[in-house]
Amino acid sequence: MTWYVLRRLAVSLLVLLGISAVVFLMLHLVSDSPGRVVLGQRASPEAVADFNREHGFDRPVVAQYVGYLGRLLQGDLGRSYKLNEDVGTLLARNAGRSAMVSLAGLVLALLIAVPLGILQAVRRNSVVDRVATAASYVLYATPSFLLGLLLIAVFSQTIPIFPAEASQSHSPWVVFTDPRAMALPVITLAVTSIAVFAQYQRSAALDQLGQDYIRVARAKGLPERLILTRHLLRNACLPLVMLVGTLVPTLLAGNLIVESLFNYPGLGLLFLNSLQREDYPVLLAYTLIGGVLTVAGNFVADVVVAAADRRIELGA
Amino acid sequence: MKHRGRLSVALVAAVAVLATACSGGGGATRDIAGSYTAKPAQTGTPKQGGTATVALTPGLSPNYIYPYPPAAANGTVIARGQLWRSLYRPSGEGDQVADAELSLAEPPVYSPDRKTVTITMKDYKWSNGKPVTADDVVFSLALLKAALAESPANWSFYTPGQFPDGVSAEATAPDTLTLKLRTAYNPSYLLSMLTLLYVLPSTEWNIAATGGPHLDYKQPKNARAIYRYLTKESESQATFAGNPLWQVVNGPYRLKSFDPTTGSFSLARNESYSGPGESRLDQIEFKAFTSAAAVLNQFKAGNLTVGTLDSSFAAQIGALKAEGYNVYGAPAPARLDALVINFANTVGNFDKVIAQPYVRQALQRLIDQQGYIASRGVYNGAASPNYSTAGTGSPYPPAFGDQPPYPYDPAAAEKLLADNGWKVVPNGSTTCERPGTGPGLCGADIPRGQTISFTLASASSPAFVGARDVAFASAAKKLGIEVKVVTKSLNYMYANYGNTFAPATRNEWAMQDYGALYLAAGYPSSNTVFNTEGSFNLGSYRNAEVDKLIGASTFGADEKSLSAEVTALARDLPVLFLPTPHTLVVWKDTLSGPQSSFNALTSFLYTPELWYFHS
Repeated sequence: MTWYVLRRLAVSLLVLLGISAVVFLMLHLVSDSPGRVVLGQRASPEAVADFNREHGFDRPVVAQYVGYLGRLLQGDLGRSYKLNEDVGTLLARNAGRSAMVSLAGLVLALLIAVPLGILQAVRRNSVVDRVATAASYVLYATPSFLLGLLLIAVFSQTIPIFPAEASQSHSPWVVFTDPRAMALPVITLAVTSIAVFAQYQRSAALDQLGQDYIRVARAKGLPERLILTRHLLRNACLPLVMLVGTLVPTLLAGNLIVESLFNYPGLGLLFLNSLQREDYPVLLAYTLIGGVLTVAGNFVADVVVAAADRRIELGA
Repeated sequence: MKHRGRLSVALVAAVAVLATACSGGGGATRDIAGSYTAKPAQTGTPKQGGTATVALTPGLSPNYIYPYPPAAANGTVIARGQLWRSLYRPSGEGDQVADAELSLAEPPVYSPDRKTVTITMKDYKWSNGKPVTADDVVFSLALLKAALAESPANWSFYTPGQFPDGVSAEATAPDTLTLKLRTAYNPSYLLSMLTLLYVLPSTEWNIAATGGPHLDYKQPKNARAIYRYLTKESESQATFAGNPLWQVVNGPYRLKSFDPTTGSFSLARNESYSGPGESRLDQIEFKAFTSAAAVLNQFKAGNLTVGTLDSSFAAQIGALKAEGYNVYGAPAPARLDALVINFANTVGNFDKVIAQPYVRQALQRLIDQQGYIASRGVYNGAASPNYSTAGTGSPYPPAFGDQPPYPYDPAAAEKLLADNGWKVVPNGSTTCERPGTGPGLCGADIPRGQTISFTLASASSPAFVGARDVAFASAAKKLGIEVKVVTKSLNYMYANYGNTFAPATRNEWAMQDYGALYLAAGYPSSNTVFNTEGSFNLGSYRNAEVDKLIGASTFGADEKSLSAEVTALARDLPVLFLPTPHTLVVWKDTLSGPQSSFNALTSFLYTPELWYFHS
């Protein structure tokens, strides 16, 4: 197991290095003279040249990349051109907020989707299964911004149960203890995921229900509840674990809609604004973090699945 | 059956709730502008105290506190004009250069040759009780020069060789400032520059290190060190509210708190403020927003006191009024929306074709301003026609008044081309069939068979920009003119589409539309924008007569010469004029104040010291 983990870790690091090189090169191709973007239209060509020289943008791209990596290793992600702030500070400020709402949405989605998927599988082709499947397709096809707007219109403006704005506090504890304020953004995030997860879980559970070990368990006379919770659940969840692992960066990127609608500044919005402002240090760091999360998500999923199913390690 | 019936009732109820929730406040496009153009009157008996919550424009949250952020910081300054006042307060209504009552000084007095200007300070105080003196103005000018010595890009209003170059300031008495000018300026132009000069505390800020010695800021070297120190301090967003430097203010408010994550901040009364206004409100909360939709939601929830409404939500005005809000909308003074023409683009002989005034006139006549305004897909009723660089309601209107020289008239456009040697092929390809110079011919260097085809770079946001450009291209096509609309990000256009700073890309764009161009509201001179050597002359426009008129409005003695400049530009068409979208100001009807203080919000000028809650 240790060897497997180390080998996956090494591959992950190589992938990350490749991502950083590609992203750096692409951003360099888009704008090889950040001085103009930073200093604006009225800056003289001399001022732009001075800026590029002072910040090393006049050096060959390889030298710039090596310099960037060196700073990266020291934890220096650079300084935002547009936000008057260190990129590391910006990301740290926003990542916690994004993670909080993403995690809450993910947990809520899993809490509903896993039992629902298993219920659908166990009662395959029943009314419950058909209604849940139809609802899943409808919800999956509903854009999250539309869903968010509908939730605000109904539950904040027409029947004022929840506020239209997410908690503005920076303290996770305050946010945690004020669930009303986070209800609508978390539900908006969770609903689409529930639709996907439930169908995924249903399909995986159906596969497992046809397996011999389930038949054996039933033949031995084990209560159905124990079969479902002790045997089916663990094995039927493995594909979902893999899916959730790959969805981690998507969940962060998907926050953009929720952050925008519910006035909850986080990483998604930071990325969008940086894109519009061509704030390359932030874009570079954000994309790298996206890469890290993707690689880390896959890595953790691989390890968890390997721990749950020893055949994977042996076969690797 | 009974179960199915219940289900049906539940479904109908759910649909009804959704329909009610989603429908609020819709209205016919043509009625929208009529619902907000009347200014609500000042009302009620003022009450002392209260907190007003103001919505900041999404995407424009502040990140800087020193009033002159260096270009590299790209700073959006906190509460501009409320912590530190400029020497002369810009007029919020755009009907004059400065608001005399809200200014820190009496109007300037000029010597006969206009090269010596004497300014008497009013009786204002800093928050620490010390008087605001002429020395503070000298200090402020020294810091502005220091910023420009670091980089000419550090002040976006700067033209090399002009203000503050060649301007020396001396405090001849504590309350008297004398400016010596190397070049005489038009008094209105100089006043417009002085509205941009923020007065900073000379005795508290004249240091180059925290706890360091007080320096003689009249020495350029010291001024530069002070400037570097202040801009460095302004990089620490977490200390904005706690740093004692930033607590010494001369405006009606001081910074109470700042949230670096969101950009939200709050202001508390400056108890020592001695200017006009009762400052009845205890606190002003400026709240940052992530989207225009989030602002609307907070208005609907009744959580905002004041803010602006994105014009795409103009249909919600009725709903907001029903919620107890006042809504007023108007074009921002001296805002100019236009298709900027690139006279140096040589692709397909565009430079030769567009150099012909009749071609520009024909193109202007293809712009259906009233149609765009009425269109739900473009302005949704929330805009006003505009045919000049002065914008609407300017004190320097063009001579033609409200009778524009080239109103929408496709037939007249077709005739202009046909009368000048072009064979017009509607929906086909219009070509020059009579080349040469002289009456009835296409014009210099335009060969036989020449088509009119060019690229229009259109900003990707806001949405109405793309919509109006596509409408223009469609109208041009009907006249056999090909306009290729390409969408670009605003930043890309800022960085690459301007012949003064990016000559290498001059053939990438023939026209560009990046939304709004703002001139100084009170004195909308196009100095730097349309003069031949102007540093912001994006499209290499040249016109000797216009140069002369811009010179007069900048350096001449006649304060009304700007009208002649505005008229000449509107007739010669250095750009194609488009309607100006309205800025929609929303505020609770429990808040009131002078009408002008709310009108000023169309220029994003806040004067909360004049506001009050009433019963």
